[in-house]
Amino acid sequence: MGKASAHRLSETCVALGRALRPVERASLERALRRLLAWQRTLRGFPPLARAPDATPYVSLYVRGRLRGCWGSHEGPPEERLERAFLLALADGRYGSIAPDERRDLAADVAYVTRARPVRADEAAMAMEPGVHGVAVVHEGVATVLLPSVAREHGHDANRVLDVLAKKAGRARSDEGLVWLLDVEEVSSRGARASSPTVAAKRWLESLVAKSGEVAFEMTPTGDLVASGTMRHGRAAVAVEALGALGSASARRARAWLARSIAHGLEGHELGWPDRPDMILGTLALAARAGVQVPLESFAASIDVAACSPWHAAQAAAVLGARTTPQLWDACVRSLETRPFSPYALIAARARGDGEISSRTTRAIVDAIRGEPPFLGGAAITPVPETALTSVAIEALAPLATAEARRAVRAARAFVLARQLLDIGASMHPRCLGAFSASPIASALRCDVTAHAVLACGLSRHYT
Amino acid sequence: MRIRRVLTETPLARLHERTLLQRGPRKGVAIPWGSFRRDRHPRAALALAYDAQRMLALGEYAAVGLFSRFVEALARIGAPFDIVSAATRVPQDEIRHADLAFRFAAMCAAREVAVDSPDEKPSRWKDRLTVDELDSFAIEVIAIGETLACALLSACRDGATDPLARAIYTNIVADEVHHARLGWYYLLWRAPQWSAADRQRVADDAGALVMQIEKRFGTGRDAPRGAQKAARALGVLDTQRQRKVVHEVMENEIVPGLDALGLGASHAWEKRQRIA
Repeated sequence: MGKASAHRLSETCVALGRALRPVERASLERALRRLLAWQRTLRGFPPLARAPDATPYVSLYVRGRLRGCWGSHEGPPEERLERAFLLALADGRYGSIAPDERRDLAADVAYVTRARPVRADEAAMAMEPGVHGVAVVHEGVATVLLPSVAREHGHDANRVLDVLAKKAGRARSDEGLVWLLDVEEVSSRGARASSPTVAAKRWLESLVAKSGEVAFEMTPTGDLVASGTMRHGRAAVAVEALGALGSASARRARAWLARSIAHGLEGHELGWPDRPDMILGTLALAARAGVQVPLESFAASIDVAACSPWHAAQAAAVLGARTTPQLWDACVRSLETRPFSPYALIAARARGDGEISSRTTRAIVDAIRGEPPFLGGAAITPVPETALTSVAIEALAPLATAEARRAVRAARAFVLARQLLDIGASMHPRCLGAFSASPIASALRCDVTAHAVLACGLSRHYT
Repeated sequence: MRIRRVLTETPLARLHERTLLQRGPRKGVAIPWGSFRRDRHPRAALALAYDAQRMLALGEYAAVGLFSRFVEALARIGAPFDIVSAATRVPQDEIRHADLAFRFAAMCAAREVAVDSPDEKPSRWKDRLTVDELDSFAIEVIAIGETLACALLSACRDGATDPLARAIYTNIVADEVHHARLGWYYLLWRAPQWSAADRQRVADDAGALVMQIEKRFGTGRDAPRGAQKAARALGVLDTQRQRKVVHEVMENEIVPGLDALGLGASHAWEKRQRIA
């Protein structure tokens, strides 16, 4: 396993300088499993597995919780992996491993494949938290943070750099270098998907109970959470995606949604929104999912002045020409301060409003990042969100202009990169196929994956 | 405290600038400040060059104080006038080097650059050096340190094709050669005065240093693929070349020089901490 392109950050941190090969990934996965089996009984230390000539960082998890993490560059490549595993096993910083937890232990090994130096004052602007690892080298000693730190704690770039400085035992400074690290991880889980579409479909189906009830989200440990903000509206997006994917669960889920909405409108549904504009948004999303709802009458009855422009636009996108002038005015007025409104674009197109169409198109195209970090992500939040980017794709996709097509291409690549197609040790294999809400989010909400499915054309394989 | 490149508004500033432009007290090449085009270099190479120059600036700035202490001690113990005279030039060279490095770092970064004050790190070299400490200083900082610096900076210069980077390194190396010689000449003067115990103490110091050098200087600044040539053009030294240079200067100059002083460094070199 070649070392010609190895890239040395310090004596104890060497980047591979290339991507891991499939045969290396398979060998590393086997090695991790053998090491995990060995630590249960301490019988028959596994023979050295071939390993890439770089520095491995092993992370150990018990039911999604980090219990040890260490890197080693001692000895030949094979030995380093085993030393890193042993050091992680003895790492007391995260509460250590109890005897009854050994069976549940899962492991990841991470290799830095590429390291890029940036000035410390530019690092926060250049890095992609959750995607890049980071390192600083002081007096020959490298301090490394893997990208999983941001993902597991929801840290943005500045917080990651703060944590890095703290780990290095120095005050964060604008001077010097920060290394941005491309990292590849191999997990002992061996849970991976070959088809993104099938994986997304299965994951969405796993949220649907026999009763048709759609869970709000899945935690990284694979547990379902029944309820959350705008639960029914988000479930409606999941129903729409399941329908587009041709899932047998769609009908069951749609029926549950229709019943729940009916109960909600009567005031008997748990988790039903109490704000009228959120109810409006819920009804709009339900209508898109094929549920018969009194959207038009509800829209005519609400106080437009108290209505969030986002939900108003969701309703207008469904109602099109039937949108009341007051509601449409509310959508248009809000564009002065919030020009990014994919639903307003969809509505404007349905209403044949050319001026609003071009205004909103411009704002959405401009919001799609044309360069790193997070190329293709919607720059509405500091770390782009999958769902917002997906809705932007949906709004721009019918447009034939070159810049809209470019934006859609980049945005789809951003969204597709958020799908969990190879499950790490920190997550339960049930999470396979879901889309994370952002590069630094670990919870998996039903509507995020559903929006991504609808935006990225995954459903086309089925329809 | 942070150190930045600051000049007064007095005539001293003009004098200092003139020294900088006029190649310094020794004859060197003129520095073509106007030739540098930042946009011609990839960002990764610029970042590495900025870091290299920032660390060089820090080292050179710290050396101003260190060599001033050396000069003070030399004068206090009645060292030969030629040694004192040569030593007095070093702090002036070092501040000029620091200035060159600060300026080049700022050009690579396209902004002002600061370094942490060297006083914030505890120094083993106290304000009033004893004769024993002078010997240790001459071994560690001057004979070994400046000879190594000379070799490493020469390698930076040899790889640098950017005219500004090359001129800066050429200027600095021209002085460092004299600094390194000062260390060896000081030791040549002192060696006959050492008792057996003195010699053993100095040999122990030298041996401990020699054993660590290969490991301590074993990592250069490696640029990512695609920026390697550009980094070299800006005078950035990668690990492979740095290791080669350190090995050669140890084998050909430092270890034989210490051996010639009767310090038995080749034994320590054989037992050195090797890099993986």
